Amino acid sequence: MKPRRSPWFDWMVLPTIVILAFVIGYPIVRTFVLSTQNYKVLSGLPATGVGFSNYQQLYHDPVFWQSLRNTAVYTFGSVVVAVIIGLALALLTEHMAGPWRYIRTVLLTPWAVPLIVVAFLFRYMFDQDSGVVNALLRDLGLIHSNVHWLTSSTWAMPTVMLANIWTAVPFFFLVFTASLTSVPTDVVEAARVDRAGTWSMIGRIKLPYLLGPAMIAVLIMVINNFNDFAKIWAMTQGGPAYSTTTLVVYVYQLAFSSFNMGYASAIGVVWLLLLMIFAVFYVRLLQRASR
Amino acid sequence: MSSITLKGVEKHYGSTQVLFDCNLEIRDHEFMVIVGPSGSGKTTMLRIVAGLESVTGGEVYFGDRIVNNVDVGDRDVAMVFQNYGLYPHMSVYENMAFGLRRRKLPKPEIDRRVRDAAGMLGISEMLKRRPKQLSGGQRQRVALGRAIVRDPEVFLLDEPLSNLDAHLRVQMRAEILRVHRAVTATAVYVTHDQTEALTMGDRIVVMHEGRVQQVGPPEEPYDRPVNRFVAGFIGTPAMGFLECTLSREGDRAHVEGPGVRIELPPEAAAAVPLPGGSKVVAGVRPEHMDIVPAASVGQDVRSYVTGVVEVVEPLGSEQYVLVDVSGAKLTARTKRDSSIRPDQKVAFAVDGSVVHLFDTETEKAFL
Amino acid sequence: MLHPGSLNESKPTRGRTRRSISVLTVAGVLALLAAACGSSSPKSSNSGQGTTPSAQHPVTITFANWADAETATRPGIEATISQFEATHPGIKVVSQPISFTDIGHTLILRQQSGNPPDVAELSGNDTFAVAATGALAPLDSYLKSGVYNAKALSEGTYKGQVVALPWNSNPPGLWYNKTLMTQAGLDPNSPPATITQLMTDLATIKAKEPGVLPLGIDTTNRSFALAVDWPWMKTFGATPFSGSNATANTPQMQAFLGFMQTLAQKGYITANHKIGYYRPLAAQNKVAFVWDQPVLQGVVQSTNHETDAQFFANWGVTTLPTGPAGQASTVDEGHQLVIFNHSAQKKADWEFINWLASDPSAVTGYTIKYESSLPTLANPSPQIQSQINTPILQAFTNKILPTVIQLPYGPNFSSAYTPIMAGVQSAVTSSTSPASIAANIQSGLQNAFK
Repeated sequence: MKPRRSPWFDWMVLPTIVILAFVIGYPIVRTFVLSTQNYKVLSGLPATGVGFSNYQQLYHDPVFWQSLRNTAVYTFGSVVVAVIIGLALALLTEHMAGPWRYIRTVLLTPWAVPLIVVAFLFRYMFDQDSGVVNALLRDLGLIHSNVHWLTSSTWAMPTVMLANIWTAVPFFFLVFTASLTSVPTDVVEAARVDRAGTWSMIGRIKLPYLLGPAMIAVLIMVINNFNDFAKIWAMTQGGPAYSTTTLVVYVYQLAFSSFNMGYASAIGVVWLLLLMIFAVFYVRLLQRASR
Repeated sequence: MSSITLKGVEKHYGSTQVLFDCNLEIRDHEFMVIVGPSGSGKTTMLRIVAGLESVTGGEVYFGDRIVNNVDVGDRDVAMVFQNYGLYPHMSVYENMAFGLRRRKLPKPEIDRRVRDAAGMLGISEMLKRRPKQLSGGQRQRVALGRAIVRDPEVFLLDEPLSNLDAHLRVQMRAEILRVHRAVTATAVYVTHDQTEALTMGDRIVVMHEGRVQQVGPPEEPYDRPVNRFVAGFIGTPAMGFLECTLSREGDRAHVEGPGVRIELPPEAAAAVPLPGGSKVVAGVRPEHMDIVPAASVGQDVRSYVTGVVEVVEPLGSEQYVLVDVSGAKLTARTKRDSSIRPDQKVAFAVDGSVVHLFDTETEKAFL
Repeated sequence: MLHPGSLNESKPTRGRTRRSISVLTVAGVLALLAAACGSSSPKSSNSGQGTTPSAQHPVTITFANWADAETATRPGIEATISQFEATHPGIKVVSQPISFTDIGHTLILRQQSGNPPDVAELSGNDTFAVAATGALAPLDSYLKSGVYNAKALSEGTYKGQVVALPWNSNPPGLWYNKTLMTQAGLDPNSPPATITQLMTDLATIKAKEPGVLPLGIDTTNRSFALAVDWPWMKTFGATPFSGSNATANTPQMQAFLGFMQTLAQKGYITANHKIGYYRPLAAQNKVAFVWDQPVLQGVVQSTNHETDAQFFANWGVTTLPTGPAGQASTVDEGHQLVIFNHSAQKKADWEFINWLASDPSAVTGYTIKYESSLPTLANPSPQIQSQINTPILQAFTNKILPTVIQLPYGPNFSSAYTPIMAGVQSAVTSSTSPASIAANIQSGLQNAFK
């Protein structure tokens, strides 16, 4: 027997649709419209339609391409490293018992630290003159002159990524720890009987169980990193030069320093399209996982 | 040599002790069944034999080699798990080949063994499938196959049939025995199902509360249970127990209680080292009770039990009659007889030579 | 879905409601599109000049400023506001602290969304960026001639009208630490006058005083940084843009970038730091030369509690060293006070800002005491004269202020500072050649001016 539909129920979604249209639909439509206009707030002139010339400009803008590259490096680089560390920690702490269990709690704490605090923490730690990192490396004799962690074009991106990785590791650690508990004891013991060593136990038996949750977690983090503004802005403001300028930072600079709203919106649209690709993958994965 | 010996094995989990001074000898090529209710320690004992758990006291020998500190992978055991423990992301073929690859067997040898085992179990057509695509029975066969390709000295099975339906279970029992005969390994089989134990085991071990209660051929715990637990656990429906008083007249003896009187054969009377007037527990199996007319009690029938019918369970050709004998509950297995109704008074003749007597305190059998 | 074949009475009604839902949804989406296409500029409130405040009808002035957001000046500005309220019973002032770096774009956004403050503290390009949006009220009708000096007033003039009242003069000068110079064997009474001398002195400091930063200069990516670095570019003859023409790809600009790169590579400067970063270092005698505003003195003394005499013995200030282009220059990043068009009580607003900038008690009690900067009055009273009669403020007044140049502030400056300062940053943080950095700045500027 088919469940009876209650048509009055459909009405219930109407307020939601209206609210969503305003809070999501309006900004998207407005951004797209702006992206086809020349609208510089500081000029005092009203916006004028310019078709797709903002997009043409973007195609020839080296800073746009650099920020796209930086976004990719920041997004995927941090995720790859954080996944590896998170997985290693989850495996290392899997069988911890007694007082050792509290290590897990300790490992989760970076997650509870507000992002802006993380940014300032790393800014102070990696300060080239007064930071603890340079002091430590000097004391250990590993460096002889201070490394310009946040103020050199070479090191700024890795340092910002390190801060990001530090906050992302607990997330992956948690996901992997939870997924490890879902590996059936039977299967692990069967593998022990089959003489699986540490590596083949991890690689052949446990990892396949972690793959599904890992994919979803990775996508969540990719989307997170892709949107990350606070950490980068608080640590380097996208500098030095454009070495840590990601798409969001570039959009922010264009929109709120130069007040070039039209061009900033065009980049915003590109950014949104890229984000939607990740979102589609994410929704697909979730659907597959729930099946 | 693949006999297995447990000497004084103990197991603690923290402050909880789950095995107490367990001694057991499993002979080479034997099919040994460990049976007991849940929580009796039977699975723990199997896992100790496997090497999945360590002992906290005593020794485990394979042959005359002490294996306390030998890890599971090095004990040359194969194991079939209750939930099969198949690797879900590997094909059936890979599931069976995995352990062989880990033991660095040559490829053609692995292939031969897997195909032989698959042939023996009738799963040759499914080698490329994933466990998820198989039925419960087929998964069970793959789990068995994974164990036998290893050609191990010791074959361990932990309640392997408990996830199958009744029909398939009977079929797989035969299958496992056939496989055991083919591979001639020592097998240890854990079950809570006494039917499996009695039908499959060369010998059976009855476990209860972490202790070995009785070891012997299947008929032994049935015929000569060593204590009231074994007597009550083995046999369906279970044995009924009656609180009685022992009476002695010269070398003859009988036990009696409200609605009960059973005359003991001289050997049995001699085996009970108690004076007349002592309390004993008499155990009567359902199949040893025959309905007799109430009038014959005390006349032609010298050993009897009388009581009130509570429930009648018809079972095709037979029926179980649950009787209340002054508070004690007994089940009798009788021919189908539609004249017996609940609340009716009934009398049963009992053969005194098959009655079991137990000490009221220690619950040990007088044999 | 409608069940086919069902002839239940209620069904047609339901179908109608269903259609009306879709109509409503479509209408909603269309309305959204219309709203999105429409102009979002706020309604400008064209209220009159306001009424004269009285104790019976008090007015409240909202005052956005960074003085109240910085530890060194917060007590001063709060006391000064209280003093104003005490002497002007009809007016209340509500301070809205916003950081120096954020105040420009925050006020533009607030103007765009229709809730600007009544009065604000601004400086440099921010003043002109906000003025360009048409947010600022002209002050000409309130100004009495002869109160403020003409040069300071001209720095707040946009399109022929005064839109910003000069609160103080704050040009950066080259501060030199006499103690460190003496220790390094340099003559503390002859600070470097040319870029060549500067390089020699920096080398000496670097060699003799390893724990000391030779030179402090702002290389952040802010409009303020471009403003204070502009004189350095000019000393090499470079002008990165004029009007909406990018002129960054020149030998002069390359020379400037090469100079900055050398400073960084030799370890004479540290990159990416704000001007404020060097002030605590100055208080600990950890920096030999700093390109900074008069306020340095106030911050140093509030940090290390030196007396005036000690401070003057320790520090001197002079003009920017001259380079190939000859002339020394500086920019007056003086703090200015503005009134927003949006304000409904401009008379009270004017009373407040005019009092802050010209009342002797406000000038001595705040501008000189807390900002340690110069008042902008045409004829300072003898009391004020005596307060600014210090070696430092005299040097600023007599040597540095005369070298002030006007920068091309406005929307183009807002678009230009990011590409230019990103170029400066890549000069001081990488080994990219000055030629290719100059070319990058040029294309970045062309892109930004489109």
